[in-house]
Amino acid sequence: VTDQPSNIVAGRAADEHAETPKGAIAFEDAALVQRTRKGDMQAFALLVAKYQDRIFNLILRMCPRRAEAEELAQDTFLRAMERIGQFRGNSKFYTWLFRIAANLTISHLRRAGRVRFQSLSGPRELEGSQADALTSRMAERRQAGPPAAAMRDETRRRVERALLELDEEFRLVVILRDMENMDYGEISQATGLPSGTVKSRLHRAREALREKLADLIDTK
Amino acid sequence: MSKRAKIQEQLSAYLDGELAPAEHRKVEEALGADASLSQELGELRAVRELLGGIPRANAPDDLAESILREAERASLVGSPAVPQSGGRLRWLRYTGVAAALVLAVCVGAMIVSQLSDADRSLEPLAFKEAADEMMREQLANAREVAALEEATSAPGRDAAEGADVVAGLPALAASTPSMDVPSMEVPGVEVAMADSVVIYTRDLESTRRNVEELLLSNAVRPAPTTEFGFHEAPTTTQANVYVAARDTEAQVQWIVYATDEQIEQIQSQLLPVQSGEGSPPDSPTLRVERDNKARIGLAYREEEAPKPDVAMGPGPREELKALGGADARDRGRSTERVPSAAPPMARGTRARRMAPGDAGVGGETAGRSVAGRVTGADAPTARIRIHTEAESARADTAVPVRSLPDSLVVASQADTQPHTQPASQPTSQPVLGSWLGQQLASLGRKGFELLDASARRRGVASQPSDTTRTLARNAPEPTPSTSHAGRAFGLRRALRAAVAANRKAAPQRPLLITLNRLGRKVEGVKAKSSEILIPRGKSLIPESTPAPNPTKRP
Repeated sequence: VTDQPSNIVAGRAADEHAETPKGAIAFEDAALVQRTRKGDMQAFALLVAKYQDRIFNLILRMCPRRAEAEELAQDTFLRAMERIGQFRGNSKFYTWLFRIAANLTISHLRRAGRVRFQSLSGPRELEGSQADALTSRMAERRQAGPPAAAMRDETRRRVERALLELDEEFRLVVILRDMENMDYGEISQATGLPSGTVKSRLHRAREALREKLADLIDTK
Repeated sequence: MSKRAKIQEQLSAYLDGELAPAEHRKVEEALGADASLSQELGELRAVRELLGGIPRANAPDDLAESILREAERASLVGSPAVPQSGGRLRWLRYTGVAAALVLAVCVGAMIVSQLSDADRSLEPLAFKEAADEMMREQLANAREVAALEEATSAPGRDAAEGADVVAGLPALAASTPSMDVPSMEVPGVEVAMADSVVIYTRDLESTRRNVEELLLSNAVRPAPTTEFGFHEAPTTTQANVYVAARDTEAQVQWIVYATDEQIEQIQSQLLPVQSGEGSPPDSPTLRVERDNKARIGLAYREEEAPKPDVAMGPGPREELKALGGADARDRGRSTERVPSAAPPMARGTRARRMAPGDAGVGGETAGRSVAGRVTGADAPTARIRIHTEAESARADTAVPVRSLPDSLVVASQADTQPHTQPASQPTSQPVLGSWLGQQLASLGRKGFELLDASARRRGVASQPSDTTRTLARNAPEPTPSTSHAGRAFGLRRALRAAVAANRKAAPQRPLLITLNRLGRKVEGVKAKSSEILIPRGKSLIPESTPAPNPTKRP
């Protein structure tokens, strides 16, 4: 795991300030959870600030409709707040939080129906707002000429589409592993699955993606 | 399963370094002996890299705010999302805390890396400390008032008026503003305290009108020739301070209530601004300058309602300094033309009501907005707000101050008639009753479901909501001669509790009623708020028996 959440300082703020300021305190989740249990709202707010991006990203990859993803992210934190008294610290807080997010999202997807998220037109909503798309395009243009940028853009779309074509259970483990960089133990905690199941699902998910993206892989 | 198939199944785990040493060795051996397995491993690695290359999506900027506001909403309507037992998180029941929550996330996101004691001198921490203090105070006060509310809602007492609150108004929290104005010293302004009651509603405008009508028809009903509202000699000035934004800037909102004389004074000072003639008065409290957006709105005539221009002003930090008075006079920026306000209107004409959000408080993304809004009857009371707007979430607390600074913009106009009534129709109790009845009916339909849910959750008999349901479903046209003000609404109860708390705390304190829009974004509009200030010592709701309610069941 390269991105230990406990070392993240205030989520997005940490991204903007790669180096922790002198004298800074990187809050441990356990301390924040403890404070939240005691009614310290600032601690809860810090947890929100710290994990909102990761939670939102997970949900958006599972459920590519931004509005729904926002609702689910919101529900995740509210559910966490509601049940924080039940969090015993046997697992890491963020895996517990991810588990809430995953459960809510999968339940939502199942209610909504899978077919809805397997549109042949592709996961256009995954691109986010126009501003996001524009930013992304501009970043690519800075790095390469138009043909290369276009190719990368197309590649990304293909990968996103292939990911969305997986069943939720498989999609979830592959996101947690390859996008969230969780190890198998953490994935097991976040999904509630035995580690053997995590392992097999991850392999099957990657195999499925390998088939779907064979032409991309060949060209690499 | 063949040996090769087993090895294939291990490839992903091998790739991730998740195999036990013995398994790892087996896979390595197999890879060395089978080129196709190596090929497959390479492809799986390529898949992993492709997935890792998908850009991460950041949460929307307002997600944290919406989470915390939803927590607030949940606490108000008793959603299961809020802990109901155990008491550990019982604080969420108290509405005043929500502001602190928002504060916490705003400030916290900025200063989480700076929270050590050694760093407490950093500027944002002033707000953090203020937020902490506010939170403590609000908690204490909210508990006190919650207890009071509980006492006033004893069985049999509130049933007659519908008990709980309709249309998302189940909560009442009163809190004494607890925040000194750190880093904001306004010359010549004496800081005073007021009591505050916060009411949350889904329908801000309707509720605000209801509250105003409640006051008019039940409590501080004006005689035809007397003033409504702030007719006591000392004027009351009230400032709302917005604290904390993502960029560590403070936002300041300023609301002023003024007397006739002060309004004239202020208007004369506003004139150069209105007409675009050079700089505004050298005022520490109002500047309209070039390098940021600002918007000025006043109470316009309905038929004129000029489109506000946009002028540029200083950034929020400078704005704060300006309000502090320290640097304001040093800045010599020129002003841009701001909209011409309608000339002072004659008595009896109706002003277009401008909600706080109308003037860009909720809609503008930068700069200051200045909005005037008219309150009161024939008394030309008015208020103005200057609001520096930043991109991210904000929280506010009321910090009333007394005595009016020498310079602020104000508009004045009487505006007491229900907005659904023609201007020519005289304001009277029958009119008010009819109008309010309509409002109740429209709100009740939405409200009774909430009320039912609340009653079920609390195991309370459905009597209160029956009243509401009757009102909502039958939508009776009220008897013109009867005022329905406050009936079937928790508003009455809420206001009564607020008054009781006010009297208990300090009878001479003014009371500030704040209405907050409840819930998530409503058609893209973020939460708004509206304030009604009750002058010190003024009774709100008579404690005598309310007027008969024709909709009440026998």
